[in-house]
Amino acid sequence: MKDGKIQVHYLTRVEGHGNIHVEIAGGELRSFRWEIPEAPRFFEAMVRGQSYADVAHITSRICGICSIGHTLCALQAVENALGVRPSEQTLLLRKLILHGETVQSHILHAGYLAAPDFLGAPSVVPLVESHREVVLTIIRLHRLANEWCDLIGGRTTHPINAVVNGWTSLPTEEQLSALRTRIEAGLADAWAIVEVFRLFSIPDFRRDTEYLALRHPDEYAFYEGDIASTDGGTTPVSDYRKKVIEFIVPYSTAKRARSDRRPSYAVGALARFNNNYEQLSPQARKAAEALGFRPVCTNPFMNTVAQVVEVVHALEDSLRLIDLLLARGLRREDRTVQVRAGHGVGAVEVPRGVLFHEYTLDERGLVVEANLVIPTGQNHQNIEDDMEALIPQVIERPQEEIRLLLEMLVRAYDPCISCSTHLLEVEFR
Amino acid sequence: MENKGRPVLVLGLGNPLYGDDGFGPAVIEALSRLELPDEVEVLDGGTAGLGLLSAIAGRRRLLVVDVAEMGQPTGTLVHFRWPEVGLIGAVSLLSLHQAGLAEILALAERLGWAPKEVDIFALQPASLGWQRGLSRSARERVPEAVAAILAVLSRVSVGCCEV
Repeated sequence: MKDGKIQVHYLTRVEGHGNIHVEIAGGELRSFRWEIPEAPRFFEAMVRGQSYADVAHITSRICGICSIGHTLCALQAVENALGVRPSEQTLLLRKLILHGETVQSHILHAGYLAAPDFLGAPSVVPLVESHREVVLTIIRLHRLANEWCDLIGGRTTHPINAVVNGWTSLPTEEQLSALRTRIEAGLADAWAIVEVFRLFSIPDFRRDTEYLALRHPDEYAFYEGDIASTDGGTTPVSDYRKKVIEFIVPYSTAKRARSDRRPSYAVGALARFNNNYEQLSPQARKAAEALGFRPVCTNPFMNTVAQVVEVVHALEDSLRLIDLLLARGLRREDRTVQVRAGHGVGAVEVPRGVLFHEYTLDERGLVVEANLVIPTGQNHQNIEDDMEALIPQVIERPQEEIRLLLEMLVRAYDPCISCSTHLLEVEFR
Repeated sequence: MENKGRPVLVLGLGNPLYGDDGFGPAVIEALSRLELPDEVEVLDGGTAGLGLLSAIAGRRRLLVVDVAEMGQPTGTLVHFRWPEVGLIGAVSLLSLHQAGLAEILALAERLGWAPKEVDIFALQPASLGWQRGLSRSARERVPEAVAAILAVLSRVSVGCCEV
């Protein structure tokens, strides 16, 4: 493309749409930017003055896709502020439901958003005819994950059973055993998706990037850990502000972030894969090998492939968690907490990357200060930096091809483009 | 696809942290305090988007409460039926977060899992933005939406219209 403008506008959504602007003149990139009006600071205002006991419930509504992650992150932060250490049973159930959400979100993303790109379809809808088995496998896995989250959380999304220092209601051992059987069957479906992804040709683009993810000594971290970087070193979560430095740019209301070392960094499945590959479950490692995928991989388009590997991991690791829960036996536990003033940070790996919640509570347990750092906010600058590196490499290609590649790049990150705005648009004919 | 849930689903969509976008969940909350016919399930779908496909698939009848841009005065509640009235969906999505009812119904229909007809109760919102709680005009329409839904449900349960 010699001259022209590429504009991808998503005006069908009232607000929170992501826009891509690219201007090319004389075969050179003149200007570009990635605009995303999202305003997480309002979430902070919404929890101020609220009780510690309600924070998780309120923040679970921020996102319909990561609602479990927000719930768990809020609970963790509040528990840290109150000096509460939840029981092993509570933690095992939290890890189990978080795996459920990871499968839910990853399989939707890989199947409904990314697969159409690789299969040359404009959306998942025409794939129902051309690749019906693939679509049905995705739906089966997604349904399993929904019912799994429903069983543990009390609802498919926006869980109600998870509370400070425990659970208001527990699954029975029979229900957990039945879930275990279904997850085993789900693993076969996940392998079918791995086989589909083996055939895809992923755009070949690499950019040296810093990847941040939680790391835990005993497991591939989702629920807890220190902040690890592919540049080396770890940072305790309580010091996250030393590693994650938030800033804003004039053309976008969303908060962005850079690291203490670089002007941008990435979080998400690829970041976890790159930092914690050695701790993947045995079948997930095999899936990665089958996909020819090794760390450290600096191709952002591979984020979706990392998600597929993590689906296998989440399913297999859930079998281990259920076995532990069943071996110990489920029992009701005391959830009492002593309310006090305090400050706490929580960090959870949600599907799109590490999420931070930070709260300061007064002596009545009311929130006086809050800070939330969402994964998409952390990825914005990295998306823009990827675009800046990618466009010159493909500038000779036709406009439509460049547009599709840029869209695919954004889709690979699956940015949280404001969950609030699913507003219906209606056409009275 | 079979659905293990009840044959009739009343689904509220929206985000209670986003002003009048919380209208759907507010109506569901009001309905859940009432005694409803056995075949009816109510669900606060929040903003789960495509995640709701399996919740609606295979239902015999679906009623949805949502806010909508209809070019009506704010606070207007409109009852219409899909597919008689079209929903404008996105052709291609940049993010899962952009998927809404239009995209779910398009996919369900292609799979042959969509209810034949969907009753949609839509409110023209007064205010959308990051804040908790409904505007006065939206709050006042909650009982009206509940009554309209109950009227449809009563016709369903006495069998005077096709379920």
